[in-house]
Amino acid sequence: MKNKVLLFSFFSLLLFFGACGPDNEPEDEMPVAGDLENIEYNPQDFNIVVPDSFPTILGIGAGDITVDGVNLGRHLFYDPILSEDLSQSCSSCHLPMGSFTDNLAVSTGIDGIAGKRSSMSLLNLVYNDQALFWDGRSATLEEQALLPVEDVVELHNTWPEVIDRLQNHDDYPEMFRKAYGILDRSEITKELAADAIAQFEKTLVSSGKSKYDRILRGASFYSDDEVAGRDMYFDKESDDLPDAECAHCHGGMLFTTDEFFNNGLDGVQSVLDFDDIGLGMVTQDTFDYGKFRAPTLRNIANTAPYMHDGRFETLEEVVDHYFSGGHLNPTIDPLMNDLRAKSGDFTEDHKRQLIAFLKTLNDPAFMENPDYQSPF
Amino acid sequence: MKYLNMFFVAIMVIAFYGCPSDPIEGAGDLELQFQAEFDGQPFFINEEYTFPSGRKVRFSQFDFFVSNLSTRLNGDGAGTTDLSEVDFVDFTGSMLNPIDASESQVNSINLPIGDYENISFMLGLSEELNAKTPNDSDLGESNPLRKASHYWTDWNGYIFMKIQGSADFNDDGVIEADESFIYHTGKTENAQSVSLAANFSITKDQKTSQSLNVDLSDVFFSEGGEERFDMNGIRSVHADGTIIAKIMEGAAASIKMN
Repeated sequence: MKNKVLLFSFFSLLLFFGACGPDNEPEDEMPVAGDLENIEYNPQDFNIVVPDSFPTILGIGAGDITVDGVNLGRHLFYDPILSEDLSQSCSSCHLPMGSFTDNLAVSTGIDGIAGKRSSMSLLNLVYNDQALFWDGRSATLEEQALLPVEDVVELHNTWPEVIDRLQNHDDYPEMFRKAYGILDRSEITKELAADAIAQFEKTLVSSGKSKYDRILRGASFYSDDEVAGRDMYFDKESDDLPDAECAHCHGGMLFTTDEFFNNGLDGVQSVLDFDDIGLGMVTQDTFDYGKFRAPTLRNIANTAPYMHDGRFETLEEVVDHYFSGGHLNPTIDPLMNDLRAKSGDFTEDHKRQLIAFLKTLNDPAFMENPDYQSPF
Repeated sequence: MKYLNMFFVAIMVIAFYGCPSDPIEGAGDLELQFQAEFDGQPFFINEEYTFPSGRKVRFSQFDFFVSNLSTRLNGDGAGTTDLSEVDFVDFTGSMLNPIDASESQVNSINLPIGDYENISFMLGLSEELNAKTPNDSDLGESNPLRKASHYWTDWNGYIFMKIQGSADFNDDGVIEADESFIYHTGKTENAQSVSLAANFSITKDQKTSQSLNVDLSDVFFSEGGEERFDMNGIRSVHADGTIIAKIMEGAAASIKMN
């Protein structure tokens, strides 16, 4: 009898410990076909609100950006589940308070390895979601969103691992179902994940509440310094101020032409001497060596440090560079030579005035928009 | 009498709307190609050429707007047919719009069949078009007037033409990094009307190609070999109305029907 009691107790303990494993342990079994089909799929188009003075957003059709797609993308953007060691997310290098930069010269990935370029602002990408990155290597925002996950100096993960995590997550399968109508969790793919992140990023649009925008609406006024800075920025004719030539590359309501330029950062004799050839790496055209994408100057005061490698810590250093005409090199833009030819015309007052104008582009309402913050 | 009046009205309606005096039977397509040349030779961005003065030159950007393109059928009183309201002729290309050859194309479909004797357009933008902005909501996705890179805020208008590059200004035989030029033109008063005699036929359901050549050497040098303005002394222009006018006049004169 004593032995039977011992045996019973032993098997009871086995049952107790064997049957009750950790709740959060991922299941290795294949998902059940159709396990999500009872969850409602009712996609609603997301209305991206843009300021009145901004260009109309074109190229987005019905169903391209949905409320549930943006919600999913926002969660993925802020979730470290994308990184190998669960320590970093997209938002690690693109923080709202830095106008979706990280305010570092170059970003550091999960292994502590520094990249070679500064993170770019994600502001107003909906207007030009092509030829992304400083060198234009990603054709679309969706394509771009795929890359950081497997980049060894960024999230250093693999997409199969990320997809496995997402498929076995408590919440994401339902969110993918609501965003894309998938029938079961096995249909979660890296392409859908990247599309959702891109959907969220396309909603990151200026608030229209910067001083510049308010002045356009007649709701504010420039100071004397700001108006002088504006006149230099846009090369206003018939005044005594030198042309700063800014608008050639940073023109329009978005304050970027989304083109690629060599702005004379490095003085080299040969195109082979550039430390970073930028666009040339993509096009393999030596005339593109040393060219980089012109970023938007909206919110520029909040995105220090500056240039593709973060070499300038302040706007003062940036303006000093442009007022000097930069350094000669084989692919330097003609406008930089133009600036060098008149570099003696610029004064400290002009620098102060130009920076005053640039600060009218500050858009704290964009950075503080609750819809853009982490959902966690 | 009442019914007689109605009969005459009906006859008039038929005369004006139902039975055109020159019935058009079918249509064909016209493919209008702008081809860039330098001194009669095919032009390519970043290739080195020599001006009539002997100075070496290399262009890194060449593009321009044309507007109100139309063509006219042969014959007295024949009307004109609109080809295109506005087009952007781009010989530079970009990552998003790579250009392999020295051609930029304007396609027009459904031209009435017949023999054509003229093509005309504005080099630059008409006053109406130049009053728009890239932000205007009525501009379609592919409308070139959406190009923020070619809108100049201080002009409240577009940059009609961009010509950028480098030249051997110190005449030492080598084009050096600091020997660059940049010419941006605009303002409605500098747009040029171009009217060219043509000789092409549109046949039913067929595509016809017609080339217009624009010669960059002629933009800067007259037929007599005179430099239209002192490029060495004026290497940057986007405000000087006199020079802008000279460039636009030179460009208009450089366009020939092939």
